[in-house]
Amino acid sequence: MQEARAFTRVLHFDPENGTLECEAGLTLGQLHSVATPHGWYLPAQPGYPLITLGGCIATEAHGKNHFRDGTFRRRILALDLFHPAHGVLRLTRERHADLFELTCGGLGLTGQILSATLALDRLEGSRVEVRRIPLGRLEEAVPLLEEWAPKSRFLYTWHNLSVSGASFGRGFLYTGDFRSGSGPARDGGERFAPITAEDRGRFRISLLNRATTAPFNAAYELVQRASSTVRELSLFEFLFPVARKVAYFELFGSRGLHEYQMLVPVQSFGDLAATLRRGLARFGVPIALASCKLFKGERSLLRFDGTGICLALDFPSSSRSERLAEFLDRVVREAGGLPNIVKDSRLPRETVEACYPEVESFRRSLRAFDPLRLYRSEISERLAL
Amino acid sequence: MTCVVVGASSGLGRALAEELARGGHPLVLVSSDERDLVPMASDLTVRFGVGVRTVAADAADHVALAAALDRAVPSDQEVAALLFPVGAVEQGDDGRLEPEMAERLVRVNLLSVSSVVGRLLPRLISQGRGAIVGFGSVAALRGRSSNVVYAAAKRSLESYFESLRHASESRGLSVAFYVLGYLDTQLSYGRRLLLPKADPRQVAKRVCRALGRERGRHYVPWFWYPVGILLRAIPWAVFRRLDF
Repeated sequence: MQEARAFTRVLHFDPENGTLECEAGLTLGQLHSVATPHGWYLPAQPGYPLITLGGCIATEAHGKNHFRDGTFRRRILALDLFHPAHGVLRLTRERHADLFELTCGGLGLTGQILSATLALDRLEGSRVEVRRIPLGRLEEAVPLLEEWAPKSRFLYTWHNLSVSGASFGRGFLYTGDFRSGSGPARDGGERFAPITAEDRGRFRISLLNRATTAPFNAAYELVQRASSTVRELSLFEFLFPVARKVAYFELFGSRGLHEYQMLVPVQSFGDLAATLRRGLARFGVPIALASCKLFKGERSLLRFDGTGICLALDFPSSSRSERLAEFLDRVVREAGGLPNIVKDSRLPRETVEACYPEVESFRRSLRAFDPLRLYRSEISERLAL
Repeated sequence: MTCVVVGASSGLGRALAEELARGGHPLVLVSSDERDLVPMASDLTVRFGVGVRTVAADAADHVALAAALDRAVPSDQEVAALLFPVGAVEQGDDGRLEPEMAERLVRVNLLSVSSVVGRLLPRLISQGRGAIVGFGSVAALRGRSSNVVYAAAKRSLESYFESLRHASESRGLSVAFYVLGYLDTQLSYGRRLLLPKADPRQVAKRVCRALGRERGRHYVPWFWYPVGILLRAIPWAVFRRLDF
């Protein structure tokens, strides 16, 4: 195991063109506080400020704006990678291009990512206006996401899967846009308490169960409907919503939550929604959160990237949830979609091999670079990489 | 108001440098490892907009260290503070240490500090103000069978700071010596200890807040003060049987 949390130094920053070189242990929150005062930010960020850059690179992370800004890799100009057999290598799209491709979304298996040079985007404002639009059922996510994509910076949906029948998955579409006129400034939202293992395990049992999840979701829906349709958040609050949601993770008890994230083609989403509506109930597992994002990208290697609808489901871990996850494995295969490898520590090798046609090519490239396969992980063992 | 940090790249030194940069102080950072100094300097410059000079020098070569530092500290700027979060321990320091290793411990823990102070003290005295900050260790509270030479050097350092305070306080300087408890750094990584480890960032905040105002000896975290009294009160007949 290698611990990179001490490597958080900013090596170079050009406030004129927004290029930032920093060590891979730098967190997204730290990067945010370096870049925003100069009027820059990093698009394609996952929603928790303590995620490190190295982690984002190795998992090819995405944000609520994939349809516009793609995955993390698009922002990377260069990487410094260390491997005992090769020393320190500087990877770019021109030099060691194959290794660059293999390392972005390479699950950390090509070596230790030391540092990265990133291309940031101009900040169009330090506050984000969030608009809420109601949607009647899960299937409506597709037309609404497509409709709002050309005119929004960020987009995601929230669905209540606790309601049965025709309004299964009713909820809201949220659009986010920089508020024009709000100049670049520190947004003051950077103080938060990190989520610790102790917090997460506070309750022995999950407080979100079959009895409580429906009222929980209904209450959320009510609160949302009662609040105004347009809200303004600081960019930090908007980009990193998880920072303020420690309580949500505590609700799942000491066994924690299982998140299943899948990317399915737009044309299969209707069938998928119908399958979920008919199939979910019989597992007796409450779905605490369901959310969709719109993806526009290319599939390649083991990256969670492509075009379609990205659906995430959160549910409490239990023996029953294992069976639900196996059901979702079949659903995503039938839909011709991708399960997110890094979200699910159970995802079996057969599912990955069935969904990711380039598994074998990833294996071959990895072995060609590192015949001894020095860098291994639970994932690489489970997926035989 | 330049601050000099000797031993800048390890746990407490790095935290002190960051805290001082946050306070807007230009810095001169000294460490043995250039690979750490260069990224550190650029990081502090980008994040806090302060000027940072670096000196790569081995604290065990205290004569060269003092000379290099004397050259590196800008002569046209006032020196606000000298801080010495510098130190080293050795495996097998149980009374059987090789002479070269024992000498190295005394050089790094004691002579590096006295040599640098010796060079820069005239400048501080002519300024008529400035702070000198040293760091001791709870390992030197009472001599025991481990860290033998290290504890001796740290106790000498404490005596040195007492003298330094006596010599320079009347000339406007403030001299502080902090006896540090367990810190959460790579020295203590993974070790099970009797008392909680302090976060070096918190210690750095505490030290920088009082910089130039606090004088004399202090224990950080504070609970080591009563612990020290208790430890010294244990009669020899009992203490010799303690294995810790």
